[in-house]
Amino acid sequence: MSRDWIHPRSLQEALAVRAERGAVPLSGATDLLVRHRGVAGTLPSLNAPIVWIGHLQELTAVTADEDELRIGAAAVYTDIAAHPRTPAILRQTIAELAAPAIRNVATVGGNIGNASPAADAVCTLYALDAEVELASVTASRRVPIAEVITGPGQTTIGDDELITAVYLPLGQDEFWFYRKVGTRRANALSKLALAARGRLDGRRLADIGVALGAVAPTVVRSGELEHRMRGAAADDIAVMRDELIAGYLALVNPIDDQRSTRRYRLRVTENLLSELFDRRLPFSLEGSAEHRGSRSPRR
Amino acid sequence: MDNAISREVERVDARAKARGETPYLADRIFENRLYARVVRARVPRGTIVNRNTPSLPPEYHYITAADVPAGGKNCVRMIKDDWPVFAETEIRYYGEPIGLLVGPDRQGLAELLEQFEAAVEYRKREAAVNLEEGLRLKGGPIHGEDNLFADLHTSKGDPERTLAEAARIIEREFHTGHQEHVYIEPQALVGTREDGKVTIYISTQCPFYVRKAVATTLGVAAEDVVIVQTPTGGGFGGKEHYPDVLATAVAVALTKINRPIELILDRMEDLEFTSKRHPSRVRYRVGLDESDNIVALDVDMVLEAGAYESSSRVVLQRGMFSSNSVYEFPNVRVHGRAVATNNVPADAFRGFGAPQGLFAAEMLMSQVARELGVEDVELKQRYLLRQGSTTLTNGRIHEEVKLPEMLNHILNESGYRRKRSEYGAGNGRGIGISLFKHGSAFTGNGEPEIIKARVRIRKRADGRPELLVANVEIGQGVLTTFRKIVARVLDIPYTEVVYSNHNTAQVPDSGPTCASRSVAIVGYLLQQAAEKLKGRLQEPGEFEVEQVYEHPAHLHWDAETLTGDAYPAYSWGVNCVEVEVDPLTYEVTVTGVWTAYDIGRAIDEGVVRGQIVGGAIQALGYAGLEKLQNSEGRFLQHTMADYCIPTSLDFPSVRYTLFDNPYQYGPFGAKGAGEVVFDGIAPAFGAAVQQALDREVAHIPLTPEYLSELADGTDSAFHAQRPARTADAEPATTTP
Repeated sequence: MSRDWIHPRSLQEALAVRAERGAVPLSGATDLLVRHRGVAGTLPSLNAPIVWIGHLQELTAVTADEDELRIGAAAVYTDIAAHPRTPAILRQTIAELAAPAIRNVATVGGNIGNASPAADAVCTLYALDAEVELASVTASRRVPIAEVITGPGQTTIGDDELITAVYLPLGQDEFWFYRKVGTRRANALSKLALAARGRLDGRRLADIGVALGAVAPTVVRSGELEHRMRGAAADDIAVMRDELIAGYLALVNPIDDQRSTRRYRLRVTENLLSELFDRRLPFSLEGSAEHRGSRSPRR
Repeated sequence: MDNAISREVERVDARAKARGETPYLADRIFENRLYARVVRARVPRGTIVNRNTPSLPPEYHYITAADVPAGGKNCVRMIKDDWPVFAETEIRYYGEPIGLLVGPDRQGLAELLEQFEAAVEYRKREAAVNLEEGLRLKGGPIHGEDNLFADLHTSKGDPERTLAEAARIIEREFHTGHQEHVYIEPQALVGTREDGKVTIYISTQCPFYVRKAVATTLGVAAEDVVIVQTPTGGGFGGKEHYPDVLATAVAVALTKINRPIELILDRMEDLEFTSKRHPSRVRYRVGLDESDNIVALDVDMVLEAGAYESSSRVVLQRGMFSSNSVYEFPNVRVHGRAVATNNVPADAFRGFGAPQGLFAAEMLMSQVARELGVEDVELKQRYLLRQGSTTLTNGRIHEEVKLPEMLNHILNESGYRRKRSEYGAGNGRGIGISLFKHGSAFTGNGEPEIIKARVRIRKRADGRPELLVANVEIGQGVLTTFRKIVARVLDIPYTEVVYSNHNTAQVPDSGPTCASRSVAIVGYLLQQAAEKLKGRLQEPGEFEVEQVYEHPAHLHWDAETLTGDAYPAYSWGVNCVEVEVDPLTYEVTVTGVWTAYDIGRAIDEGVVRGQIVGGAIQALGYAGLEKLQNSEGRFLQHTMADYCIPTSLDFPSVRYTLFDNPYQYGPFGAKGAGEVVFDGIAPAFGAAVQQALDREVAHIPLTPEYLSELADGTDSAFHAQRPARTADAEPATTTP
């Protein structure tokens, strides 16, 4: 078994192993090894070689320049949350993600690579216009996150590629709203989630991103509906809200599963969208910093 | 007697457990040990057509029913002998053991297990996987002609006539779900032979139950089997009988294999295939006279027992006897049934039927009050049992009942009346109250006729007293409380008392560790035995004193008609739970829990506090979070990620007050405390949610999914809290 666990000295070496042997990258292992675990005293049933990447400094750094934040694919959530330039909505998402022990080892790259529709951080990354950097031995490309994840466990990552970083644009947002509905208060998986952020220009919405998690095979975000919202004033949103909600509900397709029901997910998705459009867009609260970023209080 | 004994001391096991130093079975290495895995059926119901048994590599063994020794019996003896150690042809539930694989390497065993399970061919039958399907005999009866493991009646007064003549009848129906114990340490044992005897080291609540079961399976005398309880990481009833199922299987293997065999369930295996709390359906007809007085109660209780009987008959009895909570009605009729289904057998779980009966009874009272337009506390107060009251089994309440002062205390402490009116109906906030009792010790004649507990205290040569009892520490604190009882009689430090022998060959059978009986019954025997030892600790050499259980003469029970004193004494409780329901997500936040208990007298307030807080949190999980959903005979939730028990963030701190009310036949006045602390939380939670939504609550768990459906009705004020539009937009595509 040990020969199938490769410990490269550099990213280049890791990419080579990926290309040559189809090795699966592993860092925190909080998803991969749970998924493939055997009973106590047995090894996980992985049928591909493993390339360990958690120690590669090229992949673990979180850095920022004026315009964007670069999160290494193997950066752990604790470190991402600690970076001063990390957007507040992502920090809040991480605060509600799993448990401290998991946040200390789980990585953003793993979350994207696993492509679970219920992955908490992924939903927020959609809302934040994240781009994913994919590298192979010979090339590197940046792709919007929605073009990387195509379904549960399905991605467009090439057989010779590794996720090397995630890029987030910085400095634009004025408001955000995040709500995860989990199975309990802490260390919980999502039944559904909504992440929204944006910016006002005077009294109009200059920009908005709305992402819905765990209610469809992939995170749902609609360029068309967001386009209709751009430039809208408070009155416009009040007029459009029913149509907007109907538009989103037509895009989601939740399932009945061991954690919740389709009916509940639809109902709460609708409620959260109503909350967003009716109360969380800060048209009437200009200058009121405390309402600029929020998570709906648990009552 | 004063209550100085109640003062909290350091638990004798606390430091080692907090430091992770306590050696649980998985921490111990038995030389030359083999591992075992249970080979399980992969259909919920059917017959084995062909096992197609694959061949075994060297050093591996496959044990089946055919290996049960002549003179033995392929059954797990609990109360009945219906549960086979290994299924022969008939399969009654998904995961039922059909064999045991034993070998030197766990990886090898895992691979073999897959082969062996996949090879079996079955003729599948239609399965009945819930209570209603069991009652309907879906797929034909599983047990007998009618699927009923028990069909019991008890009554008092003249329920027929009073129901027939009632001015008004109110009817309600309540449901509760499965619950998994989630003890921290999974089921674990190592079987071996020592001095020629089958010897089982095991995580268990009841070493003598294991001994009885193993001896029956092997067809040997009980004395030829030795059971040693190892430090046990929680039980909650899940290690009352279930360890017998695994121990008998390993014992059969030991007749073929002369090496230690370790069987420790993996967490997921434990979650999916070990026993659960009985789901219930309780129907009531309440007869009222012209002045709206309750004159008669008609109760129809059904418990879902699963595939085999196990303890269901007795769980049902406790459920039935709890179905009028703490109220005295002149005429009562209770019909109870335990129905077979193709689910894992349900068995003991903290409360043992009482939580089901009490949830239904307390919700009923709150709903009758709603319908009559009175406050539920006012209605309940009219019917409270008092000293001298007649129970529904025509027994007596012998002790002073302190419920009125307990209730007043809770009403004041919680601000109940003010909040109740302030929150109104359907505004997303609510507060609920429950009153309840829990009988200490075995039901009916269990203590004098079945258990006949016996304890001994040995005066050791070094002058220290050593406790010889069968009761064991499962996290509840008995290592400390038993020591305190004896130390106080002998007027020595509790740390001087030795209590470390948990070997059935060396201790007398003082009965199982369950039923809120350890302190109440066995603790009292120890107090009596210690009295015999008093003044003799300085005597030279080693000697023992013994005490045997004597049933108090004022107690009477008729097991045929289920009439008389169902329990020697009761512990009493009042709980109050306050909630807020999120109008967007229907998630419930518990904002306050106030509790009051009469457990006679606390032997140690720290230990009791542990029971109260732990019991409340476990019960809030039962009431609001923990859901097991059956799909074609398997639970959908079989990981800790999907079967969610509460974390410390889920619920607030639990306030408690103890009402001292010494019980004549308990050690220093103590009664049971382990279960009453679970019993009343769910109905208080239910009543609070009921107010928050202005909706009648009919079942637990009260998940956000269920609440969203309740709130979707039209006439609830809670509805107005939601955004106006309703989600009728159903996407055209279907669920994958």
